[in-house]
Amino acid sequence: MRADGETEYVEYVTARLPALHRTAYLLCGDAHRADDIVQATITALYRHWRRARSVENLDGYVHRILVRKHLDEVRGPWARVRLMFETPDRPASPEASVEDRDTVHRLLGGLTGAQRAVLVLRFACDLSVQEVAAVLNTSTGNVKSHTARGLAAVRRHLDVQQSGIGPAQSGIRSAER
Amino acid sequence: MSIEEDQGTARALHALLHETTVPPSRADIGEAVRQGRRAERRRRGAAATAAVLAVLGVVGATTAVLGRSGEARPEPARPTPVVSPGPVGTVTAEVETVPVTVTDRTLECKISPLTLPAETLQVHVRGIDPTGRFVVGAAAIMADRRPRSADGWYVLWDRKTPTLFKVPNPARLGAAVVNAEGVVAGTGNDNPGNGMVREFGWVYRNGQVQRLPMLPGYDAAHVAAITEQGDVVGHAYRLPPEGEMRGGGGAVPVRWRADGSGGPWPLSTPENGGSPVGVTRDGTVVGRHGFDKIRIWRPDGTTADLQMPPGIVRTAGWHVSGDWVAGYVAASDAQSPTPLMRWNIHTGTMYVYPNIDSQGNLGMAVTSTGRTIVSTPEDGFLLVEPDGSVGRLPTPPGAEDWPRKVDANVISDNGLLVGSAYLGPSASEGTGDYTWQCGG
Repeated sequence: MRADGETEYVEYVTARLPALHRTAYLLCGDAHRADDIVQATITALYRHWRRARSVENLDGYVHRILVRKHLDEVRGPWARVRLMFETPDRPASPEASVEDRDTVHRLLGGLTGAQRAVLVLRFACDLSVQEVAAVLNTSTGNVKSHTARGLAAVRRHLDVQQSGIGPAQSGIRSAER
Repeated sequence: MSIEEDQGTARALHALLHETTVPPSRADIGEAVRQGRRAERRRRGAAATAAVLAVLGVVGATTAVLGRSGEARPEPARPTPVVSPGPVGTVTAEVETVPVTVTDRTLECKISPLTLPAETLQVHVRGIDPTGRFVVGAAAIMADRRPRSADGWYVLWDRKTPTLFKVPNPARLGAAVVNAEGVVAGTGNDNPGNGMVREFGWVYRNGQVQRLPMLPGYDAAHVAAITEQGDVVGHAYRLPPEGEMRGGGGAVPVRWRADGSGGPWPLSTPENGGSPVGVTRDGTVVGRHGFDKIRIWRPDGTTADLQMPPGIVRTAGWHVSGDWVAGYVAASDAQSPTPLMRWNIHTGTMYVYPNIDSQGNLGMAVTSTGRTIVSTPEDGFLLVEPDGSVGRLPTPPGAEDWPRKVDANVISDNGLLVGSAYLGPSASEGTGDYTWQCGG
């Protein structure tokens, strides 16, 4: 990579690192794994920077790398296949619930991997349905479906919290102010 | 679930995801670069490049052009710029720590919607002139959802009246800057079609977009700033040989003069080069050398590096106005906090704000009076006054539920900020564009 491209790469990654880390953390729910995912993402981005800097939607391109690294890291090489074809409403990973310590972890930990990825990209990264579909390499209909089912699951969780059964009511109230 | 429930859940989830605390990142950009370079080196199998690739930051000084197998090729013939060939000197800064407290105090600002051209859906404001009269931003028109420099549409506001203009062959990255005469400059991209990017500078003046000439011997250029006189400052560089990722050569700071004296004029020898970010009141160009050094090029042709103050191992400047440089400092090479700093290049005082961690974010700007705005992942956009008081930008009406989704990273000397605010996932365009008049 030429010096100028490298400077540009560093500028871009420096600016986007907090957001990438946040996305990775919300996707996987673990700080160390998030570090690994982001490290793998920005390393891959360096190797492909010449192509990346000429794409129309660089953030989308990087999100796509990050989601793939997340799936590779957490769930193995078949995860991408499962992400698109698994039946919904199956919890993402049993160990996630053990590690969940706050409301967000509980909310996201109860979702399928696909729902979690879609909701994080839609509502933490503020991507549109079309952009999420491009990142996940799937249809907009699939994204809408996972969004609706994911939100329904979140809604059920919030209802439980607000009915006084759940342990994290204060977090929900602050979120709805 | 009804639509209303769906939207309510979406808003609650949005707030939760944006407000939840995330542990600090330990990712290492330098390590990514090192690994990327190693991978590139393995691909090329060129042992001769090992010494160059092993050290961060030396790429800017590399002048050899290496072929696929590592053999040296003659550089293209070019005239040698006439600048001071002397060694790079040093300039010092005296750190003054400002232990400000970040609170929820909201600034008293007059908020107004930004008027967009009829055919424009959204804008991303990129530059403002010091007087606040002219504002420039990238525009999204028609069905485009988000403004992108790559689309080539720009809006120039003159006293809040917008004009839409088109830049042929726009670049995806790079700033658009404007001075108090309404002259806009930016970076374009010829994109030769082989996956490469060949940047060039452009100027928009009197309704016309004009291409800036290349520095002889160089085939690409990038624009960073424009002066009050209309001089454009940036850097020139060479593309690597066809099929190569490396070997184009380092950045040479250049100035395109508006006085008809031609150019661009190199500001240093290639060995003393770097990437400018701005120009101070006295004409000193401030920029970067490598990843972690501030370098200046003085009007007399000399070059100097900012000597790291005690306890600081890297620093970067991202915006320049008057005598001020806004940027950040870091106390270690790892992912340590990167607190905001503003350095007065005239007096040498560097004010460091340990409680305002930019986390490496480039969203910051300073006025000639020393007011600084900074985007922090933790606290959103903050306005830091010269006396050390800190306040948040008020949220525009209609965006009350999204207090930390304000994006305004340009400010004029008279306190005009321009940017956008997030209106929530149910809003048709997602964001609205506003001006904030915060003091004078």
